[in-house]
Amino acid sequence: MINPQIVTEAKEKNTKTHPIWFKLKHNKMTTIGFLVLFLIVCLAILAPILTPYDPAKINVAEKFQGPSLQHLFGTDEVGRDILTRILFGARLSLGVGLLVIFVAACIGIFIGAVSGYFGGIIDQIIMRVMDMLLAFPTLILAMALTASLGPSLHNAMMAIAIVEIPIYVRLARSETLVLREKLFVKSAVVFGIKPIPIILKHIIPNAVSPVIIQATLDVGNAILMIATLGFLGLGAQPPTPEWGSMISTGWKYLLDYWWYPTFPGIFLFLTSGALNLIGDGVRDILDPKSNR
Amino acid sequence: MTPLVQINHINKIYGNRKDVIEAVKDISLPVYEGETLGLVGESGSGKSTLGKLLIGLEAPTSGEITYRDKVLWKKKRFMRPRPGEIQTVFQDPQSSLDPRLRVKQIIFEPLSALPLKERKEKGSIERLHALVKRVGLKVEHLDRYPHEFSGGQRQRIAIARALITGPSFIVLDEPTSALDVSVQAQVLNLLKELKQENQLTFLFISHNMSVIRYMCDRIAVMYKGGLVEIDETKNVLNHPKHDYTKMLLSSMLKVN
Repeated sequence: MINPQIVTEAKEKNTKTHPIWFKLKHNKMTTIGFLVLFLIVCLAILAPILTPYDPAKINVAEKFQGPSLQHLFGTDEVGRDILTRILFGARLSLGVGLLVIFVAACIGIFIGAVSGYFGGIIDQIIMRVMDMLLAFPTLILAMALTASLGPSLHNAMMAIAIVEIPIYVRLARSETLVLREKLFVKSAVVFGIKPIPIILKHIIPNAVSPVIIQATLDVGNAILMIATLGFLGLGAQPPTPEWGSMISTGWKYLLDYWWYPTFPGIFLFLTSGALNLIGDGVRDILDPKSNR
Repeated sequence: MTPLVQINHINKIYGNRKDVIEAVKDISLPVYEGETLGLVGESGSGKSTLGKLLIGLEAPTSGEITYRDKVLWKKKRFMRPRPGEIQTVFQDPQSSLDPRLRVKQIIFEPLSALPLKERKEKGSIERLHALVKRVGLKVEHLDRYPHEFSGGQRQRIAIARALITGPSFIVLDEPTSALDVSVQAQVLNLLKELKQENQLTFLFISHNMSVIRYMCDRIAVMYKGGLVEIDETKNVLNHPKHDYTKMLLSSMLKVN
């Protein structure tokens, strides 16, 4: 739904008006965020090359070994290398985080544009449903949805996407209300073009920039939420290497084998922290009003 | 002469019971085929609203508009004649072109409402190039974005976009008032020539009496939503009947 060409064009246009790289240099926290994320992404991509171990292979003889040169981050209760599982877990977390937010943003922007463009009763119904979704704390709602759908990674992803949609609907709707009054939209109406083509061709491409900013901010959240659901046993099921469920099994052994929950926790913290820094930076760069 | 557009006792009321604005009050007028009818009046006189009723952006509260003897508004539904038959050029070329589309896509846009066969016939590259050159742009401009153009060039793009469907009636809502004076003259001349070449009928909305005098065959003067005078240009200019028209004319003479 979001044409990648349009997205890059939006970025290009912003490069012209805001010299992004210049601003980035002066924004240390964002640079750090980018570096950390870049490192984690590299580790995730290169995971099979970097470690000789299999993330799912059980080797009870080597269980609960402390950090050593063979196992940098130690091993877990069935002898799997924790570093390996963290690296494969990074693939899952990043992939799932991006995918969930992408899906939520695509659906949200479309619903929001439809709601804002048509107005009237359609708008009222859509926005009241969104208000209902927003009335619940996001995590509680995601938990309730996953619990009722049945605990699995797919259901957790779906639940998080549903929980994230209202944010994009509101954002896209408010943009649409402004765009709807623009003369190029009015002209399209005069030409006799139908509402859905107008929404796809004029409204969504012009409403996409704030949605991209919001999406960058939300990826970190989504990763945290996936981990939280995993921790509660509602997300990825064992033996899938997932940070949340690793921490969940690991914390029971915290006193005796400290390394088990600690390292996945550190990686989760670094990833969502880096993404939050990037999100803040992107917002500062693209929104001239928030200049410090 | 037969009227192309006939407006009969049109009213347009904005707002609800407490806070009512009568934007258009009981206006009846014909627009004849092949003429340029100037609609003049001060800001808020309802001239733009009347234009919007004709192109389908606002529904009249009461009254009837016919186009080639067919009713344009049935209750609140706009009965569009053949798509592309009635076209428009808006005042502000900054906002009337989508900043995310290339000029070529912008000019071709009205065609997407046409039936497939007609779209192919009118959407040929030769026709596009001829049209672009005719309105004073260059073929290499087609791949650029609107923000790379000046106000006058953008208005030329908007004019090309209105002409691509081969319309017979164009509502021009202050097409030159956002442009500076020298560019205004060029665009007005272009419009005049295009009208001759394509046998167009114009409804020309403006608050600028000198522009209206230059462009129009007949003038309709609006004041506070009502029609105060309609006659041939020379009659209105030389023997204005209504006080408001006299005032408009005197203000024009002072400026000149």
